[in-house]
Amino acid sequence: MPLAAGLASCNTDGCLDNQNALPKAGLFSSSTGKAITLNNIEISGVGAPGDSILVTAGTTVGEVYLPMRSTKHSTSWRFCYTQQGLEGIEDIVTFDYDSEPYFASADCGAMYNYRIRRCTTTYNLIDSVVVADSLITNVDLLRIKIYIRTATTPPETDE
Amino acid sequence: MNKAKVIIATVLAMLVLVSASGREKRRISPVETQATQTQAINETANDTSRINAKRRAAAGMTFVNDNGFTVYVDTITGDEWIDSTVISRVPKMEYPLFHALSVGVNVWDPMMRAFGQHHGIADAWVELSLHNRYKPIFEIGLGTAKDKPSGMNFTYRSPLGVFFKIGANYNLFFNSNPDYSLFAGVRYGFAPFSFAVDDVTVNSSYWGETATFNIPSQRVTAGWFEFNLGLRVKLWGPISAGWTFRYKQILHESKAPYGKPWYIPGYGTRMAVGGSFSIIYTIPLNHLNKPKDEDVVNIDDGTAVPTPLPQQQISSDQ
Repeated sequence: MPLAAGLASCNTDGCLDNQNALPKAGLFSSSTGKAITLNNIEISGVGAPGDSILVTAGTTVGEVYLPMRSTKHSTSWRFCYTQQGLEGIEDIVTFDYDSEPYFASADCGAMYNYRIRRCTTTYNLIDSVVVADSLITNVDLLRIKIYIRTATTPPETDE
Repeated sequence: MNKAKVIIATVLAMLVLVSASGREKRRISPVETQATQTQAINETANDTSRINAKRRAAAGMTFVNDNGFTVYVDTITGDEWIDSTVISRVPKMEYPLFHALSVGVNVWDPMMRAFGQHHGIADAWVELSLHNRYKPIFEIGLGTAKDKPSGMNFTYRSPLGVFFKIGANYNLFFNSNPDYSLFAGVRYGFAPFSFAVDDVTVNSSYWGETATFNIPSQRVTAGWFEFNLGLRVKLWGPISAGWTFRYKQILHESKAPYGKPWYIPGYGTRMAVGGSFSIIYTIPLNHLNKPKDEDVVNIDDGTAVPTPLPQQQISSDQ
């Protein structure tokens, strides 16, 4: 069940940022370096209750919030590719971090900030993962860039 | 031949006559006539400044009024007027240097607590009135906070802390009745205090996890600027009441590792505007001042008598 919308829309009238420290990740093409959107990818947390899915296949996604586990110091995310010919291929991205208690404001509340110590990934279709800012706060910024190998259509020739 | 001599003589005679009549035409009329003597007087007859100057010289009676202006008195008509060349001077202070000492208690926070506010205690201040115009002020107070906002995931706690403010007010009605004043003022506030955030609950609906923790106590200091606009009215005897509108801006605060404080004693919550309501006791300080100068005559008390200045007395005698 997709919960991304619920996670992203946690603002109140007085809080201009998020009410939780949510790392926002963006998908990028490893060949062009530009932001891309995919609709044949399924994202879910490793160990999530009921194997709940964060982003279901068929949903167009370019950016996604990947909530950290507040009771652990490591969170893993599974990226499954559902495009024809790529079934069964997946990548696992793991973040190791420290949790830091933080009082943002009376309107945004108190929360954990997460300082990412290490990021590891498999490289089936993911080319690389870049953590632009290791401190994850409730400020709504893109801090993680996931570069995916994308197929490039060869230019048509007039023969 | 004789005829020619006659003609020549006639021409010469005419030339002599013409030249003689020309000299008479160049004669200038006398400068000093009755008309020229009165011309300047007539042209300046309506010049008010000259008229007033003449009247002042003729009057010979002056005295200094309570505002420090020289008042000229027309001894014939009894009219009085002030020398307009000094009218733009800063008016003299109506009230003495050490005018009064006021002590006030700000009861805004206790009143607001009665209506559900969860922060603030009270503060007291002392203000010295100089000429009923400049009023340096010092404030000291206590503040505390304990609040769990509805719908939020924390309990904010700030134990009792002290704060100080120093500044000054400027009474816009400084030469009016001191029982009523409209003033603008500035303050610098400073507060060392600590705060903690307890019972923080972080829910993750996706992971189905709930974390509970406390943010440890942090000791910080903060300084701020205030611009005040206020009103003060006498209630009874030495007791008066004062309302103040405050615009506040934090100037500096020490960095806290676990987030900024929500409440600062003396500043309040992080709102830029606030208010205060004080009950004030005023002590007159007239006994600290030198007696009034004898030359200054108060024309309002009914005992004032215009006093001619010595040189004016002489000129009037002439």
